[in-house]
Amino acid sequence: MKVFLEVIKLNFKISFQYKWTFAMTLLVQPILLFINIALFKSIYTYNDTSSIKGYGFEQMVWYYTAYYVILSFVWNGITNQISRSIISGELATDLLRPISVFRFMLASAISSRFVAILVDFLPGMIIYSLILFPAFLTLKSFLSFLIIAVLAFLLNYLFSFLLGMSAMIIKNNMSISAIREVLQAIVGGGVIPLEFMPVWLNRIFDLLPFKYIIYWPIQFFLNRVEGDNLGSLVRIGSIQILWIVAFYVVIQILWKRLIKKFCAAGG
Amino acid sequence: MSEYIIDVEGLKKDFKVHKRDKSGLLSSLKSLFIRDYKLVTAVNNLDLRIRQGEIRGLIGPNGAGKSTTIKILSGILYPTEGTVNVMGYTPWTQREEYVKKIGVVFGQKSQLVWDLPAIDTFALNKQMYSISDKTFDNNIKYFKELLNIGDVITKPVRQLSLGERMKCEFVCALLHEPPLVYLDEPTIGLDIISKEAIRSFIKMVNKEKGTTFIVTTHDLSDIEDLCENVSIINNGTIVFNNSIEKLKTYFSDKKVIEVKFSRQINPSLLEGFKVTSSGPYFVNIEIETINTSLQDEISKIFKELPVQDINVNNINIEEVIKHIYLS
Amino acid sequence: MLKLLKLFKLFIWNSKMDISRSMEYRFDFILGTVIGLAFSSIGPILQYLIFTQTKGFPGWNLEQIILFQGILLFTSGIKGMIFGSLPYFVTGIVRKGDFDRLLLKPYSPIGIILASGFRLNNIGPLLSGAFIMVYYIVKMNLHIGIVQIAIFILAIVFGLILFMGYEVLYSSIVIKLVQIGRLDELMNSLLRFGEFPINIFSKTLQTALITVIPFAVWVNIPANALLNRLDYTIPITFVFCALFFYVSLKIWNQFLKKYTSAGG
Repeated sequence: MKVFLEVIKLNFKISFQYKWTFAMTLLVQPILLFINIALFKSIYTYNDTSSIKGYGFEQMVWYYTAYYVILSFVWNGITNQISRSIISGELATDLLRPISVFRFMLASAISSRFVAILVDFLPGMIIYSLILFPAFLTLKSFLSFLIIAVLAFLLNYLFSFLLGMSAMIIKNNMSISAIREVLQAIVGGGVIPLEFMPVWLNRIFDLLPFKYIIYWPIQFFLNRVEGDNLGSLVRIGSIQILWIVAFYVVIQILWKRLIKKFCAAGG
Repeated sequence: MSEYIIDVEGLKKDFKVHKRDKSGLLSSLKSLFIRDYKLVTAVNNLDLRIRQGEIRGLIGPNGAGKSTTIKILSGILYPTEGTVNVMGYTPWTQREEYVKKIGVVFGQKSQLVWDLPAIDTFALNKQMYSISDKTFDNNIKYFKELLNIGDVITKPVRQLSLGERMKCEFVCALLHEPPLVYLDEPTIGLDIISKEAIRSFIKMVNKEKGTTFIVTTHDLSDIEDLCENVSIINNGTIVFNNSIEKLKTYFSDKKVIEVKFSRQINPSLLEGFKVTSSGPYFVNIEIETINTSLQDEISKIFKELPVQDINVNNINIEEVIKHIYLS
Repeated sequence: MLKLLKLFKLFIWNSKMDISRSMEYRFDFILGTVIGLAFSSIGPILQYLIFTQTKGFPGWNLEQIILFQGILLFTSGIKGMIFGSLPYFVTGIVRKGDFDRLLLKPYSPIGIILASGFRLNNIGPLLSGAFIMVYYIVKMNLHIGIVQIAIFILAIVFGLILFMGYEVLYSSIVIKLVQIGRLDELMNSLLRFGEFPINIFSKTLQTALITVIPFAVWVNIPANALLNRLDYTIPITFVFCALFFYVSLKIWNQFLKKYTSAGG
């Protein structure tokens, strides 16, 4: 555990070097917010309504910003990172570390999210709130969002790691991670509120992990979870935990097999 | 055109360097708005003349102003003061015309397109430099034979060895038949065979086409093999500008005597000699022939030390250059 | 003029190289094209969904807005095909410290940058956009005469000029601020002002979008041309596009002067 914390500390310093790259979100989001405010104001006025698909005006505009808010909690570059370290041969040295590759990369993902929360999320929330105040937010909804977001981070980490392991077979897995990104944006509800899609499609999406990484954290953030908040929290949280356990088991089994093959082939 | 292909007089280049003392978040924020500058003189009062058809070595320690000089000569930078005349052009003001007449090879950087065969980059250069079909075909044929790269140029660059890639870089730089070529560390990282291939190629092109080459390098064997004349830059100015032969006899009044002993000696025996290095079975002694005659010194050595073998040498070129760099 | 012709030839040459590179990595090319198409379709699909499930927004009915989206896909396909590689080219130069190498070529460096942008990948949105456009022109039974076609083509041309100016600014900033990543994301978000009908914005912004930041030239003007909603502001916007390009070149030259006196 001590090693784990040390690795987090070290990686935090590395990630912090890129603070300006992280902080670019703070410039991009206000522009998009501004466009979305104009777009939806004209739609809500023209339709003479205060709610579309159950989204109030603020919620609708914030939906798109929320996607980036969620990313500063859940994003990682593990899938490509594994591929890169296999192509460059660094994986061999990674294996020599006194900490498993799985835990080492988890530590680096955690520290990069700390940096993102520090330079993206916190100042971002203040800046965006000044542009359009998130009137929907309550303390209770925010706390339940935090729980779901942390679980989503873990889930996304495991998912990325699993996809990253494909590099042990195909070396360059850029295509796999690109497909994942598209699916995450569309199926996960990153760019379109899923309510706009047909019900049958949503049923299918329910069976995939993407919604639990993006869509549900957004729903909790926007305080749109209907009915008994605690009940929903438990329900969504347990599905996330189910996915986490499933991914974890698959990774453990596959990793042992692949690493044996990998070492036998001499990298 | 004057007899010199390059004529540089009183060249000076100052840089504004911005200071930042701390690397914290606050100071980097501050540096966005307020910046402290200091002036650094990279090149100072530099004169240089190079004859048509020469292969000139340009050496100097890191940070001496070599690359700044090359950048000014090739038109990338403009100087603070001074005049430069290369083939009748002032490089930085007539850049677009001027660069058609020069070729540049950087040992550390590639201009070949990584994913495609080198021949595709050659064809791109044909387009860029408006090389006629005939010249292009002739030159490709010529270089293919001279460098033995018939198969190499049709393979994607990423599959080539460093030596093969370097040969292709040379073709790229020479395809438009420039009368003047700058080579920046052209043999860096190459094995001894590839180095020799590149060097004999440079000499061949120099002889057959009369191309002038300016070579910067840290590899003295390049200089010894290629150049007749060498210019040493230090602290932004030329500190030596003469033939390699002159460099070899720079300390003509100094000699190094290498002595091997037949048995282990007591170090106290070496007192009274000017020792540059020693061990239990050998010693290197330096003498200045103005003060001491070589004959006296050698007879003294034979008298006092158990000599097994003895050699008298000039101070070697690396020592000379080290001396020049440090002075 | 001769220089422009030579740069154009250089562009053609670079395009050929990109095509042969695409063929070298065929699988990546196909995948890249599909993914590119998926991403560029997100906007149109989103607006389609909003429109089919609400009343939409003022001044545009469903068919018109789909035509608008078709033009958006089509024009961003053209921009993407001609200049799509440019960000990679510029960041590549910066990362490898290769800007000096550009100065060793017998052209203006910005000319080489602008001539190195071809990207075959973006043929996806171009084709699908053209298909949607033509299909809706026929379906809506639009009357299209020579004037409409001429203005449509002029809008495309001036749109490209504006986009060149925009890319010149981008290149200046990237080469100046080496250490900051994700700059293209910021620049792209600004582009989105041009991706909506301008009448959703405030009056001031609407005026800006047809003058000082004439982004309306990309989709709004071609769409209005096809829908025969012509007015006197169109030529003014064209002039501002040329002006934008001119000013950005001035900025670039200023920057280049600084670079060649200060070094990398």
